[in-house]
Amino acid sequence: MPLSEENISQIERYLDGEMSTHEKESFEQAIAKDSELKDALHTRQVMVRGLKMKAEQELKVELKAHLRESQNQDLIVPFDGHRRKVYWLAASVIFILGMVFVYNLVSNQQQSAQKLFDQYYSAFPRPQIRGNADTQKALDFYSAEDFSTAIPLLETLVLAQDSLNHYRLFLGSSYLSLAEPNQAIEALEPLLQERGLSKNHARWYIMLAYLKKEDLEKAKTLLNEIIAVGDDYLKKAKTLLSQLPD
Amino acid sequence: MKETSITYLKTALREGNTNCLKDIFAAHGDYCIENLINKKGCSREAAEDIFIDALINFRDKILNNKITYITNIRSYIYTTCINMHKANLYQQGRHARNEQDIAFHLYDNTDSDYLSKTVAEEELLQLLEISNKSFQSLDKRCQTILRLFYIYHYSMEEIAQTLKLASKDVAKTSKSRCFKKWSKLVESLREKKG
Repeated sequence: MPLSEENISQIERYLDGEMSTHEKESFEQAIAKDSELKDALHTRQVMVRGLKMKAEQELKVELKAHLRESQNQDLIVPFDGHRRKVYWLAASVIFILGMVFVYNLVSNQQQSAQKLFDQYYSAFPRPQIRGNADTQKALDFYSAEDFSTAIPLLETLVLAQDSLNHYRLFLGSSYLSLAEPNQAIEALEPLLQERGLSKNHARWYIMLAYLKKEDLEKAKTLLNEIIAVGDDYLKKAKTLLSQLPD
Repeated sequence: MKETSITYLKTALREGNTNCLKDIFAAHGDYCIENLINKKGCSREAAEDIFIDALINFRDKILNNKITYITNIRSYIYTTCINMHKANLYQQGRHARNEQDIAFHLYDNTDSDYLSKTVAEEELLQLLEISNKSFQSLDKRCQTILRLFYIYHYSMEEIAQTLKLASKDVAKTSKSRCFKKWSKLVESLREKKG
């Protein structure tokens, strides 16, 4: 016998947790006595659970595909041989910056965006990359902080070898060093579509570019993203967010 | 993690945006997977599965409002991984793992006793298939309403806002109508299949 509309509504309210304690108890007593009602409830429990499971399975497939892609595209190949050195360098930079942050926390003052930019910005550290003469030349100028000369060479490298996306980090960093945040954002933004470390670095430097532009809303949004993801910039992001003017 | 960051994750997840999960994957995946392999003796495949399940569990808890504040996302997800690994070992000790994933998930649920006692596994799988098929044949609006409510835990007010309905009462009526439509489709398909 088909279920009455009222029974279907009752089941729906029971499943959605909309019944009062008293109503729930009465309904559970009714289920215990009525096998058809019990079966109908079970069917709808399976329907709802199945809907959630399907969504979970789809997400699982998506995440697995993402994992395979990440494994296939090792986006930090040029860093591999020297990863340890880069990490040490990054750790040293973070430590030094950390000391500065502690000092600022103690002083407990909200500072202007420009001051904060100067405090937090340091050019993206150059790893030891083996490359051809053009690469070496561009990176030598970059290391020597001759950013005006490095930029056109880096632009050429980015255009020629777009897959080696860390050149974008040097390019964005060069523009930021020359106080050209718009160009820095333009150079770095494609990296947000990537995965892994490059994306984390890019997000940090784009955030700094917005800070330079005094676009605090966008800087805060990116800081919240960094904090949500919890990447290597987490601590710096938390401190900087607390220092930004409201 | 600050409360605002959980809010950010929740907002993104409720909009169906899974990029934030991929970002978390990039930031913590290696750490969790390598530790599961090196410290817990998992195979790579098992470690990856556990990490993905832990990530999905994290997402569910955010959507369900069971997490509103977290201090260290990596520790949280890794602890979930360890608990899931222990649960797997326990399951392996008690059951041969030849059950289909779908049934495993159902039996693993808190109301599993009820489910497992009332229908046989095959019937259950058939019901799930019918249920999914019926859901697909619902109109897009109904699918959206039911998804927003049951998967993303939108309130009626939020459904009304998202779908530009006149009020939360209209949303509630629409949701009920869709649920009934879905129920009837399931029943009629079940009858056809005998």
